[in-house]
Amino acid sequence: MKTRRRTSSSPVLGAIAVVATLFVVAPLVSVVIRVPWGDFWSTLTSNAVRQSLFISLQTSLVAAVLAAFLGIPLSWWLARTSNKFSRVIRTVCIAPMVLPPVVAGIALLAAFGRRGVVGEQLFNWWGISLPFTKTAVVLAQVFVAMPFLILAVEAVFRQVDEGLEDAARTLGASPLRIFFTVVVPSVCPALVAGLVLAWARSFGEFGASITFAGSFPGRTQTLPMSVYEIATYDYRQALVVSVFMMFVSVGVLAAMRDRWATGATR
Amino acid sequence: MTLSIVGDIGKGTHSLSVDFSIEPGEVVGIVGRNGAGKTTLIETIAGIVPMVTGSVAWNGTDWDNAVRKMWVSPEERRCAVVFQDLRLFPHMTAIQNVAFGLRARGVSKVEARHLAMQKLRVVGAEHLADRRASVLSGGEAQRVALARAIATDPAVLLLDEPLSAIDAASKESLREVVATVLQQFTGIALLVSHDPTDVATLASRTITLGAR
Repeated sequence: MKTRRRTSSSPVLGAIAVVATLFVVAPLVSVVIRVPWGDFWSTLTSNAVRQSLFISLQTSLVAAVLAAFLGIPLSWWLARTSNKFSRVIRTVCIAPMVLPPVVAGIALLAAFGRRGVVGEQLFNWWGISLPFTKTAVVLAQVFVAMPFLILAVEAVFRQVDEGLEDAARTLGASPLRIFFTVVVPSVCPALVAGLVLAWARSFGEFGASITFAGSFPGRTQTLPMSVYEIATYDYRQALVVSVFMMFVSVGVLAAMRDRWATGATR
Repeated sequence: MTLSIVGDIGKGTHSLSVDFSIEPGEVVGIVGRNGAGKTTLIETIAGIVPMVTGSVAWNGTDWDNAVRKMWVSPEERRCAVVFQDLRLFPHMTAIQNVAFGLRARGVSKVEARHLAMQKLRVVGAEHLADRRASVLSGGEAQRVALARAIATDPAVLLLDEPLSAIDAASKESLREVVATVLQQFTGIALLVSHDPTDVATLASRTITLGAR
């Protein structure tokens, strides 16, 4: 808020800010203008869209929970350790955030593909083949979404008062018990925010999952893949699905802002 | 069952030599100017800060021995602390705070709640049982912290300025509560205070830190 007041005092900076805002707002508003609202409901409930929406919800929810299950303990360790090793681990674990999603998909194939470093063993020993399955969609989503969760949650864990942990230890609580009864409840709203962030990223994931899991309707085709395919033959339908996903994303953002606000005033 | 602490305590570049032992039933007042190391002494005994040199021993067992690399973690020392900043768990109710140590030591939920209620009664805070710790007033929180410390039946009770940050009116009644708790307590008690009246009325002997 403060920065905004300051920039508005300079007309040049103010003008640039207006251009920036319009640049972001224009496409968003245009989608809403161009959507054939008459077809809205019939498009959303059409078989192809319904199917991929269901797959998207299914995979993104599992991915968010998995990202939280794996990412929260890692974030806790990162928040409480400060050495060269932990800094390297942090950099590596948030790297998927800046990786081109397609590259992430290729990397997942290299690791878990049928001929992949890990995948080959999985197939030889247990006959498990991951690529082009729903599991592959989930793995791709976890891979790209977990960094967001780690960044958000580690920052929150760093603010937890170590004095409370000391107090809990003198009362006889083990580190694991302290984590679950003192640390986690005291940052619960922020953990939920991190989880929602990971879910939103998973829900919108496209590049890594289409590379690693393919776009098979009814099996691995998620909503973003569906939009991409629909756009090749029916642009108007693609607009409908896009506006739906846009509302979901903006809704999540709005809900999270409230979460963070209540978390801060506590 | 003697508690003895001999050697240098401190954090960073500051360190301080101490050498004393305390018997059960004693209430030792710890006095000294600001920065003399009163809180550090408490944290050293509780196992939050390690000794620089020397050892902390209770009942003939080393809790902390810098030479022999002995270290008993705080959760296994039978110490309870009323911290100067209290450190109640803000997301829990008063009774959940008091029951926390009992639950951590394996007491059942029902039994822990029952025992916690008893301790709240001792400090005159049973009416606050289901109030969240974050909304308690200074004096109320102080009582709950005291109840939490005695709930686990510790061998060593460490009180860091239990009467500071309280307005004069509630200080008198709180001092009576602390006195009652200390009278009933059969273990070793250390009371850090900057107020000579507290030490004179509550402690059976006094140790001055940083005087030598």
